Amino acid sequence: MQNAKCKMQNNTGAKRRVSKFLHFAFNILHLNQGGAIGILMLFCMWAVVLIIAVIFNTIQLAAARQETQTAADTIAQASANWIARTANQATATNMLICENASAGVIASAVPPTSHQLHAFLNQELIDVQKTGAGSQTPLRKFSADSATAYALANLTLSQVQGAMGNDRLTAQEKTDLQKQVTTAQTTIDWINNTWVNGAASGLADPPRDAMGGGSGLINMIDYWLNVSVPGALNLTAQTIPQEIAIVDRFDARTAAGVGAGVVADLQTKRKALFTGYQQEILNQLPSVIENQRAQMATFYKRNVTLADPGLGNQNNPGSAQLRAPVMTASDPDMPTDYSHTDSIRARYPDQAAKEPGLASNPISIDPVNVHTDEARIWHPGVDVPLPADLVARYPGLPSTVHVDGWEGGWHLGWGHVFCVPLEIYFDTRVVQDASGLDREYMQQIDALRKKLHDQLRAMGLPDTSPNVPGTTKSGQPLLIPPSVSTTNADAALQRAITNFNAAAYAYGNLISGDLGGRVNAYTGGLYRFTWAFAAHVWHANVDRYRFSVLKDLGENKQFLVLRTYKLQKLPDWTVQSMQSSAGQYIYQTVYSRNMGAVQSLVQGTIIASEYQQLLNQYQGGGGGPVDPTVQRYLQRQAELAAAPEVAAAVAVAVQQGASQISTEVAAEWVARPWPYEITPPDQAPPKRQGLSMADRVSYFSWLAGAQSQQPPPRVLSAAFGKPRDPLVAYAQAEIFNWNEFSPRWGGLDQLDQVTRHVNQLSSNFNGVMSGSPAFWRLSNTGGWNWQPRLGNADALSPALTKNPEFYGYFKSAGLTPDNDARSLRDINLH
Amino acid sequence: MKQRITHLLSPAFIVHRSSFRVLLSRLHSDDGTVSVSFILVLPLFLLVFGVIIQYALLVNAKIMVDQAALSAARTAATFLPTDPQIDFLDPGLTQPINALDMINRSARIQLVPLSPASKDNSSAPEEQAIETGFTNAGVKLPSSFAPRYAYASQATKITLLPVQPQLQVQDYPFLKGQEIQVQVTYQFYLTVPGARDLIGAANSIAGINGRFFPMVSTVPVQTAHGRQATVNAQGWPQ
Repeated sequence: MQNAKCKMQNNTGAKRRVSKFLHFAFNILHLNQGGAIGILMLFCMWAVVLIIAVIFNTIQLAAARQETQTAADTIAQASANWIARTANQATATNMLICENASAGVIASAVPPTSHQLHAFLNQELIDVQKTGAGSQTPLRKFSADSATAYALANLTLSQVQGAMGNDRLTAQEKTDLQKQVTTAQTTIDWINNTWVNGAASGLADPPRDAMGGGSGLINMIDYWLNVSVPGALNLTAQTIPQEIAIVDRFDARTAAGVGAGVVADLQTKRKALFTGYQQEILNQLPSVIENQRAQMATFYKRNVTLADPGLGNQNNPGSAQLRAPVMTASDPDMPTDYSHTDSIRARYPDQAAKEPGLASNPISIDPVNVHTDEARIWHPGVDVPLPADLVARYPGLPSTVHVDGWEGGWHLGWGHVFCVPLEIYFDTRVVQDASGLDREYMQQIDALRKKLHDQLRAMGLPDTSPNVPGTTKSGQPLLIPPSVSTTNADAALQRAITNFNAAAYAYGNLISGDLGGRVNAYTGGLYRFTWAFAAHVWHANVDRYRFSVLKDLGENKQFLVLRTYKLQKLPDWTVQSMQSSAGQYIYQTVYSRNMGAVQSLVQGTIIASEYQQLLNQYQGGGGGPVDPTVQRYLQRQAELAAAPEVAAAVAVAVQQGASQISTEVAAEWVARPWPYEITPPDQAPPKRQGLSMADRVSYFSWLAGAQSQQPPPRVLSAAFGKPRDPLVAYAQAEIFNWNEFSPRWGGLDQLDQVTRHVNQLSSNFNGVMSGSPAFWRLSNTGGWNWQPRLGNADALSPALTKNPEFYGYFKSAGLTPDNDARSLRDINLH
Repeated sequence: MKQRITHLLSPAFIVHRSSFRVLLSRLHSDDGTVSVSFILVLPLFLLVFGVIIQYALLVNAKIMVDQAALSAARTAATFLPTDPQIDFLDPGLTQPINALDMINRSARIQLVPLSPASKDNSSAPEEQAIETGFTNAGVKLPSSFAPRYAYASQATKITLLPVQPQLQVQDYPFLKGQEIQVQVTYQFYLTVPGARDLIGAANSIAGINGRFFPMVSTVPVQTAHGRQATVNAQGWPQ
């Protein structure tokens, strides 16, 4: 009870104390405001200090992180800047080397061109004086020749008439033959009276001539010779000195550039460009980047290192010595040869052994001068059979004919390209440089000659055989004496008929084809002064020195190429199409080159055989001399008989040879490696373009790592913990070139098609087909556009592997990367 | 006390003249006004404070979204010249991947710290590979990484915009020297009560119902096409 009472009293006391405290607190809050501001201020100050500390720490950390990342970004970008500049300088100096070499070509080509032009024109001045009466003889003789031919035709026709009476012809056959004889007589009379000698007014429709009158061929020829020709010679004699004057101006214009020692001086400067400039830039680049790295490290107050994912730091304990993705064409890093077993030489070992330089197999292919010299793609000629029935019919025919298998000169071979990395730009420069002189001088000379040609024509001078009239003024064709024939003629009548047909053919041929030939022969002597030749001479000389200088460039290898440049096998996706493309090109080349020679061989044999048969038939087995007129007639008949068979037989044979050669060369073509400036895409463009992933990572990308020298400072470190590890940031930069994606500059290259590797200045610049795409990036204006940029850090893994200091930065930041490439790529930070 | 209050409120007291004077004197007194003012202002103060905090979080988020866009842009610059739909297998990868996936991944990883854990048990296909990658690189990832990445995958959208409107993005890989913009849109989850209701829009992402604020960052990219040089008829740069 006592305890309970005490407990009650305690409870009452506690309530009273709580009540008193609440009352006191109420009074304090409600009545007494003394010190409230102070408490609030203390509370606020504490909060403010805490907030300021948080903000300060956060800002310090954020700023430090940002500055560290900025340092990494900046140095990566700045290093890539230098490397891009170096690549651009490499491109520019390669172009300069090409321009120097092109100047050498021009300087070499000018003197022989000038000499040849002067010699040619001076000889023409002499020749134009000689183009006088002597060369006019065949034309002047036309009048007599036509009279003789007319007389012979008349004579042989009368012999036919005479032989008809003693023949075994039926009455009807005689009547028919008589009609033919009458028609033939009328025709040859018309030709003689009207076409050749000129018609009396109203008698017939005379041939057209230059005068537009009806004077006949003889009068027309007289007019040409007596009026047109003297005027033409006079005009020609006035024109040639004008052409010589142009050559003199050409000499004056080029004199300064073709003096003694100019070509040698250009060669010296070309070499200096390589040794004193290109190599110097390459050598200085690492130290320039290193110097910049050191200065930026000071500026950002960070440790900075560079990492090369391709080459690594090369035993340098510190930062990697970055190099540009270029190398000299003779750099030991680029394989100097590529061993390859030539399938054609293996198939034809005996023939190969007889060819200069082709005995060895396997072969070594020069990556700069591809498929040249001893590594050329060669194919022996093949013997293909002629059709058996043709050979049986013409015993004189060989059973086989030979089809040659070479291209572009037997010593050059299929798909040869000298100095591949520079070839296209070099040729472009040569074409441009040659074009200026071509346009200003050579084409001017040729234009004068063209003008002379037009003037000669305007003077009424014929220029080709079609100018011998083939139709009358009303458009009626020239009548040609018809041949006569009958089926039951005996030998005498048959010979008489053949004699007439031969004479009629000769007469008709005299006033058409033969007269045209005489006109051509004479006017050719006049018109040769009007033939364009200057540009041809210039182009030939330029091409000659272009080839020799290009070969010299390729053999010296004193220029830069991309590090990715090398011989590579054709990508799988290109092989089938490339083989087809190369096969078509080779087939067409072999076919067109061999058709003429084989046709000539076969045609000669067949025509000779046909002629002999006709001759035997004419002579009736008796032999003896045959009139030349009859011989020409029989020869013509033999040609007509042989023509269709020759064309068909030769086409079959050459097609067979071309097919065999093209198939085997195309197979070797796609089996060989070809030079690529960058690794070709593994899929057809545009799905895949530009640098391959592996090349971009290994040769065109670099990384920079930045490490704070001390952790960011902290206030209230006791409250916020100890300072952290050093901050580390990294960035990857690369250089790239837009022309990878420009169709004009190498993007969208038709990697599965043969490529023409010589620019066309004229037909003298024979195209050489190659199997690799066009090269642009380090030797032309399109390639002169390398640019730097920051990129995705997909080269992180190899950079960590090959650059210990860079790897150390990551470890210092608390990371323990095992450098698993896939893991790092999966993280995919920049 | 109760009696006293009852007395004060009684009509007799109120009408009592002396009592009325006492009430007037109490109203006239400043006693307790600080407390009353504090109580009245506190909600508004909390709201303003919350808005400021939310705004600070938004600024932080904006910085990170910008960073994500920059990262995506760098990846785009590196990989986009290839057809973005074409899978390629480059060194270091055992599975083929295309450029668009790489760009998306670059942005998502940057946005993981900003993302809440998803609640719908979804996961992105590449999440496991990335988590393994970080672990192998020595980074101790919290257990929330996977659900956060899942949220980032659903809340992040990458859009490639042609700078020249007449061009189509799908033509991009085949164009020369054309600039594009890499646009990252991220649905930022608002967490501050009160403030989120003022500035956010209701939505449901990755199983999270709440209010979200779309954050957009755009970075122009000149990819490997780069700046196309113009050349004259002779082939010289202009």
